Amino acid sequence: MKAQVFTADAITSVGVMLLIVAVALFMINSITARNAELVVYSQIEQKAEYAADYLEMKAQSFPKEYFTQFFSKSVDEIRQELGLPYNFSIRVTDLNGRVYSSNGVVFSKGNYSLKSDYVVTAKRMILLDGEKVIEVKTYS
Amino acid sequence: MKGFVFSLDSVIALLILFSTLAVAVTVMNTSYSSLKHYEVYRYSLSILKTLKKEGFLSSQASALVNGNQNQAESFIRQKLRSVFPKGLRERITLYVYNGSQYVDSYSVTNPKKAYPGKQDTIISSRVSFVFDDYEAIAVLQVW
Repeated sequence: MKAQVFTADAITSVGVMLLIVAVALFMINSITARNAELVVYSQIEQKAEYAADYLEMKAQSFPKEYFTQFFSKSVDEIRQELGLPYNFSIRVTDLNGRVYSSNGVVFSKGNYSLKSDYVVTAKRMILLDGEKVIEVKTYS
Repeated sequence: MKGFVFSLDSVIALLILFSTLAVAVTVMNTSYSSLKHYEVYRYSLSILKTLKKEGFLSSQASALVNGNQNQAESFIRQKLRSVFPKGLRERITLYVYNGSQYVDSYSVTNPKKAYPGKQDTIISSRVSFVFDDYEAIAVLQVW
């Protein structure tokens, strides 16, 4: 009988141990994958926040003039100026999300793929003919 | 006694297993949360700066101090509703000082009776400003 109890205990222990090992492996795998995702996410997040900070700072004085000039540039020029990744979009909208335009220039620029895995949005409120929102999205 | 030994072993083993699973689930669920909080924090701060710059904070603080509480609260709530996306809840608290002397504080929450729960993370930003003969600190909390 003692042997039977021992056997039952041993089988249970080994079973549970195998389960723990499986969970541990799953965890390690998940954490590694998450860390890799986090690195990508942090990088595009930093770039979006930097671009939003930069534009917020520039919008402190004469925002309309600055943004009219800014959004007249090409996507490549803007990407280089702000150090953004290939996939990005920048818009100035009102509080309802409608894109603002002035003197025939639409305050929206960018190119991105809808297949992007991660999207980070950095937003800042500014004063430009009333309250407006700068929205910088970076994609990876 | 034999049954007891078996149960004890199983319980301990299962406890370890469930603890490990709990840790795994926690790790899976919380990886990006701090980054998203940072995004909300930066947006909130820019809202406070803009409200300060356009004189909204000083005009509403003045109204609150001078007894037009209902109207000011309504304006502030309306403003919060218009600048934040749906799903977030916000509270602005104005702490008013006269020199180094604390005078009063006023809180406006959107929606009116919203209160953060135990599991909510509160993201706070603040700016200081002056109005009439007072100095004030506006604290914006979002959750």
